[in-house]
Amino acid sequence: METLLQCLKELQVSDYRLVETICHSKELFFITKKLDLSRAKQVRKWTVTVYEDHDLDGKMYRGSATMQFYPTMTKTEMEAGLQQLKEMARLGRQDPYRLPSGSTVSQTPPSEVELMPDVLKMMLELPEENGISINSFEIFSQHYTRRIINSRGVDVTFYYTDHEVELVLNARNDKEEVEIYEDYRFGKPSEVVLSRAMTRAMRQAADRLQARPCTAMPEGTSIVLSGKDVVTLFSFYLNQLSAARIYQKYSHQQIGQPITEQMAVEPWQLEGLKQLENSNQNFAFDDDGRPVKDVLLVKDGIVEHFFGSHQHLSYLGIQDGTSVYNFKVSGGKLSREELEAMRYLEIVDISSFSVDPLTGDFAGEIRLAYYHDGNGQTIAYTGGSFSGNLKQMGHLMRLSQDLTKYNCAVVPEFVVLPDVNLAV
Amino acid sequence: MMKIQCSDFIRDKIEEMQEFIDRLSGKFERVSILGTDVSGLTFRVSRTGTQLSDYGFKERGFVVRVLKNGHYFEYSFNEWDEIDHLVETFMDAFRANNDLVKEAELNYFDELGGDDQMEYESMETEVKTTLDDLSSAEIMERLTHLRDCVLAIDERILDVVFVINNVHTSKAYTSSLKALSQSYMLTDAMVQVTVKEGNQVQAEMQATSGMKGMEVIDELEKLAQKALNGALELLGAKRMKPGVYDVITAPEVSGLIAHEAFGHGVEMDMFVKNRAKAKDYMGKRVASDLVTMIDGANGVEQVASYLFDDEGTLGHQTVLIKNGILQNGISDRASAYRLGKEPTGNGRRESYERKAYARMTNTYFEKGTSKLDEMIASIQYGFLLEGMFSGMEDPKHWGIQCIIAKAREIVDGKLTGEIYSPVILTGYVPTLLQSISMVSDEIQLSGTGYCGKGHKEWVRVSDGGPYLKAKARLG
Repeated sequence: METLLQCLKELQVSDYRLVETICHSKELFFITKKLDLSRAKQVRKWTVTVYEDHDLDGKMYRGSATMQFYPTMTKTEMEAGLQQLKEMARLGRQDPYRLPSGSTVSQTPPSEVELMPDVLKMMLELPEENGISINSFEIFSQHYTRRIINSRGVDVTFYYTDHEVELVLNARNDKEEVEIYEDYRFGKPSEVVLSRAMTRAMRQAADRLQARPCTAMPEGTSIVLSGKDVVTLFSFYLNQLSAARIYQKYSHQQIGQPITEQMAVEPWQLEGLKQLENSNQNFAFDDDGRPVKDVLLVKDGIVEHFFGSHQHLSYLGIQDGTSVYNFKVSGGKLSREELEAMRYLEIVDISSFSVDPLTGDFAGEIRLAYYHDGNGQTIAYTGGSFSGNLKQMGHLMRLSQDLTKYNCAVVPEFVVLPDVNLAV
Repeated sequence: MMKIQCSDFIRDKIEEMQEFIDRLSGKFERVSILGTDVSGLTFRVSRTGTQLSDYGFKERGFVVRVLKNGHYFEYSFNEWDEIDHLVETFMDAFRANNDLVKEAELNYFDELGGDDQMEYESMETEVKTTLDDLSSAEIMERLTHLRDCVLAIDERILDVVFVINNVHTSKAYTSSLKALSQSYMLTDAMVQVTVKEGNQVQAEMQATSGMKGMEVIDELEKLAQKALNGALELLGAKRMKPGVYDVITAPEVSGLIAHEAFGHGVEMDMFVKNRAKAKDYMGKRVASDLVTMIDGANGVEQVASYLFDDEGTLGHQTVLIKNGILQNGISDRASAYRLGKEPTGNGRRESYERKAYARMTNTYFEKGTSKLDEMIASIQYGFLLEGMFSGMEDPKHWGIQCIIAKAREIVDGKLTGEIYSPVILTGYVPTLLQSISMVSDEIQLSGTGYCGKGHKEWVRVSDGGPYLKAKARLG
């Protein structure tokens, strides 16, 4: 890193940002509960962004260009790379902005704690009973050090861990075998959280075995999403408040206006949080080297703030903003008891659920859903698909009172969605 | 034509890589090392500005793989040192792993082995135009001019974004029996036009890709017009009424089906884990007899073409389905060994930092004999499906999910002009493939996206095929 900084000085690069990322990881891959492969990783990289201001026909622009540098590069290669970056930055044309200023701040490095054994122990102790077994799992235990320096005095260092567990469960009876696929991300492992998630996955694996092919639902059946798909739904709204999207006019959100197309029947709150327990995104600083802060984005259904990079926030005239990595949505009015009195199809496992960030369209293939008839009877279904559009009906969503947490988000436990197409 | 030579970095490291192997060989049954150097530029021009950056999936590093007592261990790193120190660092990591395995009292799944063969091969491809012929400044100027022309066409245009990724890949693989190297250039270019009318916003993307150079820039004007027309059409799109319909899939949708249905479905690491129904259907009918499907790094020049995979196995061309009968799967080394097969050259890593899995390369349906207009004429009520957003595999249950950009209505053998969007296609794979009743006589492949295994391990792939007529559930 010192060589890079020296080269930047010698080449008289006046405006730059340099990010150093160091990653140590341990990875274990299992078939059933037996080890298939193990891996380790030790990688260091630098990302340099160079900024050049220039005018074209009397109008000022700022260009930027970013390049990765490696420890295997010689000083000559680094100089050549930085020179190329300067030329590339001159070809860039964006509205002017200044880098944020700052000072030297360093988080205390964590004490040497190896987290892989904790996660491994939790996985190996998962029960296999009642026809449910572990098909395979993978554990990635990654520890990061990040340092961000810019030409305006920012020099911050912080640390974080990122775990990923991919788990495949099988449920078997005499006739067939089905699988449930789960993917968990977290910072510090929590036995309680992981255990709760696994228990739910095992129950779903057993239910999928009994599930019938999805058929048309009785009229008046509501569609309910629960679990981490609710995070995906609200991520759409979070995305709408990104300064970059507002600036590019891909989002038409305005401060003081409803976040949904019309005022929500159950107005909700959306906050960006600096810290969330067990999240893998508890970053002390963002990519600009600014401290991450709590921010109230939506209050009672009305947009309060935008978030994003220093560049895009400054285009919107916002000087003291923040990036958002963790978020929390408030609960609504619907209790689980009130829901149970309704007729609804709760879709709990979807092939790949996504919401189009531009149009608000969403869709997914149903791997497992539960039909509740309002009188206590529940039937498990599989197959078919559902689709809808959040821009058209998002204001009519009804939210649960209770909240649940998935990695970097706290969201209502379930949401009732109107006007959803079911294809069976 | 310009030859794409191996990067200086990789070329200069080959001898040291061999020395590293020689130093470790006495300690392990098998040792190999893969060195990768992927570099490139991304040109991006939109309404709000222009930017030239490093390619986002750039990498430079190494992964060592050793076999000891029938068990593999891998170590990824990117700091090259004196050989003594490198060996010491590696052995420390190996021992730390052994300690972890011992303390946790882990049992191994099985013991691996297998023979290898001596191979000394190298490949350097050629392209028409490189950045030596067309400077970055010229490219940005052309893209900026194109952007301004498109923005001026229609006041409903919110944005037009051009992105070109020009990527040079150099890899070397060394073991006691092999010395392989390859160097190739891939370029993909895309244009997305976003339009707005009232509160409605729609977008369409068109793209081109392949083992090409910067000559792709010549294709962008036509693609931009196509994207604009397509985006404007979507402003009037209706919501699909769920049902089972006769459909004709355009090549990009045919490719998505090939990829999700039988690409992922025949990745043989899934066979080892009993996660793929296809394992029990080898030699059996899974599609109509008009269907032949192929996967391979050989045979086409696309974004997943190469000489050798990330485990040092030479690329193949594998016939997955022939005349509707399932023939073969695609494998990495470990799954091939466990299943008693020869590896097919499909052991691929997202980067040197990640594990190798059995992954697709270029996956496509073979062409047939029908013409598109006769296929449309054969449909009483149905849809022509075009453009793809995403897909998801389900090899265990043989489900398929494809999210498709648009469906053009066909009534009594003619396109009516009505558009429905978006469209989700789901169903049971054999039912869908066995319903294929017509196959057109030309194929197209494209590869601008990335394929994941589950929700991670992203690799470049291409897919495609001809137009197909089938019966599908849409929603």
